[in-house]
Amino acid sequence: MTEQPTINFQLAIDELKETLQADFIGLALVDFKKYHHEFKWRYVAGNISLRYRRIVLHSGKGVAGVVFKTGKPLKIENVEQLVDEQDLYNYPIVVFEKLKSFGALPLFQNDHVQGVILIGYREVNQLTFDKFEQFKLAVGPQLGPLHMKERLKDDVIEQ
Amino acid sequence: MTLLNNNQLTNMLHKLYDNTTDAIFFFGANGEILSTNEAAKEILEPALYEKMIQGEAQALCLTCRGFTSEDEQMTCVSCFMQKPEEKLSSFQLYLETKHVGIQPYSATYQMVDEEQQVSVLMLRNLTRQTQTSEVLHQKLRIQQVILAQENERKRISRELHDSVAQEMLSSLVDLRVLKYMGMNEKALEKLRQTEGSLMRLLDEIRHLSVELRPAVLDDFGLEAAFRTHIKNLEKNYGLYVHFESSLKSSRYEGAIETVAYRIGQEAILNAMKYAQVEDVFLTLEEVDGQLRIKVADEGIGFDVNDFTPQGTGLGMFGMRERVELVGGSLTIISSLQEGTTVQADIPLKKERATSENHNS
Repeated sequence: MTEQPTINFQLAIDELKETLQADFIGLALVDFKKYHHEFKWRYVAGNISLRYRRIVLHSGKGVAGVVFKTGKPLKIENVEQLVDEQDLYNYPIVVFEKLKSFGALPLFQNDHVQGVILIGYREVNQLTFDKFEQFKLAVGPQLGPLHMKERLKDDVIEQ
Repeated sequence: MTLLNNNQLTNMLHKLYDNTTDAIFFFGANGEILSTNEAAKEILEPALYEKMIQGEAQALCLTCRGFTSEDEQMTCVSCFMQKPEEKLSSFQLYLETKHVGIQPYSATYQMVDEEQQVSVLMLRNLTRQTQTSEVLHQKLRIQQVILAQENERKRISRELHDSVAQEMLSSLVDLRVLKYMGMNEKALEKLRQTEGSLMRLLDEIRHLSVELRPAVLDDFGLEAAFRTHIKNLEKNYGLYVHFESSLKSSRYEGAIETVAYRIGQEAILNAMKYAQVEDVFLTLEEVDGQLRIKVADEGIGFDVNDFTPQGTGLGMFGMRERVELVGGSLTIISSLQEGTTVQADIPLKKERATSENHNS
């Protein structure tokens, strides 16, 4: 809670965008200062629309919501192939940032998902497996205490 | 009444037999065909007809596909030819006919000569009536489904809103009290996290309840319900709905409000899904004793005459059915590049076939 403002998130995602040659990077965080613990896209890089600002994210809904709820990474290499066009409106960020290939990671703090970071490309098949792995590695150090790690509990259960 | 002599009557009956459009079959004791008229010959496949008139027993079975009983559309169970005395005088029969396949007929079957066991079967084509009644039936069924769905949604929504969400809220209050009961920093932190999750859960439940059927619609009417819906759309999808309303009376009959709300909801959803816009215009007004709801966008539009829908096509169909439920009309104007306008006019006077009070 107290750590959040000390990191320059904007700088961090700008750098990420540069290193991974991404078209779009978005960072959604839960704001504890707000009464309702508002979950929104807070920082973006490479955006072509301001619609993200209006949206309040909900657990289980949309890209960020799904990652938030499951605590698992999500990767869609080709939106045109994998997402039914009729269902696309359920993923507003994909629609109005015109993303064709994207991936998202949960960001943990105290074993709870407190944020979601999304990397997107406007051409299909840009986010390959290797690129996503690269993204996972790059996210860690730059986002300080929020860095990504798979849920420990799940790992224990799986073993 | 002029009484005809026997000769004249025979003559007349013969004319009737030859010229009527009803198919007439005479059967002997074993179901062999004794005679048929021209109309009967007309409807049958020539090859089959030849075979039938050769005097085989149960000749009709070659072309008959069963009659309609209470249990089945087409059945041979307890065939009408077996026990004519037990059957109704008229029933529905399906025949394999020339060129057009299986067709429904209204049939009468009766014994005309007890001694020689001669029976007559008369058939009248029912295709037209059947189609009409089927369409009507389907419409009624869809309307019933819509009503049932609406009532069920309302029940679940109420339950979520009044009981589940309330319980949740009181637990949340308890949790907040707990914070002031002196605990260490670690426990307090955990408590805050739990509070956060619970709060989100409560939000989700409320959201679900509103999505099913907004209680504001029943409690405060159309305008309030739309405002809530619009706020949610903006929050969830970043869609701006420009809402204008000039309704004189803020409340209408439950059914009307429901229909208007659902149409608006569906039309906005369609605009969001297909029109590729971030602005939608919604207007509510009263024109000549009719409630008019209009949803317009300046998006890519579609060809209204092209019947290949992008989605399931059910949304559009559902809208029309809903409007018809309250005796209104639906107009859809759309052209490529000029956007789409969906307009529903619902009469406020009580001149309707079905009325259902949703507010009770």
